[in-house]
Amino acid sequence: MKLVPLGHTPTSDAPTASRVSPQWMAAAIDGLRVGMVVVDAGTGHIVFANPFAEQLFGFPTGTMPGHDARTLVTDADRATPDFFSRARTRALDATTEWTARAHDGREFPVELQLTQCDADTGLVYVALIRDITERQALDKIRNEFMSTVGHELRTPITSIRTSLGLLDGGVAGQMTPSARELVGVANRSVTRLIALINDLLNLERAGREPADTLPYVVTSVDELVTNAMADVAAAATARQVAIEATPCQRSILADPTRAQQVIAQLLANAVKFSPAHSIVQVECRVEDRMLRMSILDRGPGVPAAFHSTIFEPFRQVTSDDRDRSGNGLGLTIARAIVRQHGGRIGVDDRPGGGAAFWFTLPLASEPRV
Amino acid sequence: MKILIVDDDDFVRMLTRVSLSKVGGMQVIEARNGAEGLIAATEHIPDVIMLDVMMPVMDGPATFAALKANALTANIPVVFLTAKSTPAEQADIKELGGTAIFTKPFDPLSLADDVRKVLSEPR
Repeated sequence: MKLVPLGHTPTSDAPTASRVSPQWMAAAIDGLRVGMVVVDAGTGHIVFANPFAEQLFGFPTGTMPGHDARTLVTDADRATPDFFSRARTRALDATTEWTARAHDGREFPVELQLTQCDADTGLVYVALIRDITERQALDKIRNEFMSTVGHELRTPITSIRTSLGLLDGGVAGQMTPSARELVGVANRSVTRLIALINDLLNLERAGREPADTLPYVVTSVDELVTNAMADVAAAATARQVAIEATPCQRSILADPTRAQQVIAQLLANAVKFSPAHSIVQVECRVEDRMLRMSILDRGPGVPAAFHSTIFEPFRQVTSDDRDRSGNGLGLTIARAIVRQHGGRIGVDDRPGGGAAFWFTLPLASEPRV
Repeated sequence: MKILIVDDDDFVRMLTRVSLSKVGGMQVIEARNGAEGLIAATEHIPDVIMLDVMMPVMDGPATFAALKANALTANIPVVFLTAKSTPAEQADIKELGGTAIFTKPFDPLSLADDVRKVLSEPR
């Protein structure tokens, strides 16, 4: 079978194509340590499987072609109405994770790369399939390791924080003003250390989780903004900064916890750098089937030289004001979350002064009123 | 109010005791792991048990299950005290079915009040 990717029509005089021997191609495909399965787009039947695919799914050599491709998926997927159309939407021209079903009924996790080809026998789907059982097991070990590290770091910090809290509360007797000041310094430092540990663990997680394992839910943007505003309400009140959000009345397809984290992070930053009695504004609009949210403040703004680097770890614009310094990971975490969702994040100058932080997240198809 | 603290970390246990007794005026019993905690719970029948999640010998979830399986201790409210703070970790602990989850580090000056508050909430 000759496979020609759609949109790439080889010509007989193309020098590269003329040097590709069908025997070489056959040998390469036979020797691939990746399962390759070709499915007829019209019938849904397997028309070709390389030896590794047959081995992966436990089929005797040469017996995989002819089967319905749905024999390779779980019973639940097979029972999904319109399975091929849904699978095509999810997997075409992308790398996605699925649970596959072997010939003996055993289920195992796979990574799938699916492309569509116009073969001389008609339209086919070419699936490259890797068993990721081992990778998932390693991820599990890594998760457990990070959880343990987090636990082991937090336990001694708990003792420090609690001791300081008890001293500060006068439980061990009254302190002199100087002693109280020193305890205050230690207390604030340990609070920052706790925030840093939490952020490092969050960042590690955001950078590791595959995008398609997130719990995507159709989520009201206005609800997310309201919740994020509640997260930063105390800081806003303390700084005498108001937050105003224009109702958006749209929904996004996102992990709500993480999406709220992004909004809260950008709001917290805006509040932190806003002058007293100013207003932080939240606006949103639709742009290329994505929601674009902007958080606008009247603070000192972000110098142009920092626009591209401010989202890198520990790259804050220098601030002499300790109150305004953070641990330098908040925006990095926000970027990691936005990217996980397939969105973009950035900062512009706000006309009239201040910063305009913005991000995009995928819009849910139905508008929500 | 009588409270049983089950935590393997000596410092955390001592500081929790000081918070609950000196600040909160509670009577505190201590156990270093789940197995000791089970014995202490049946001996003292506390009003509430504060249970660490990650412990050697017998961890928090196993201890919780054993407490619930014993008629003497099944109705004692259990507050998990944990250093696990990610949403997934918190969800796992919540699934166990305790009365509340407190995340370390906690505020030693409000810990006793926080315990009283969760116990007074309708379940």
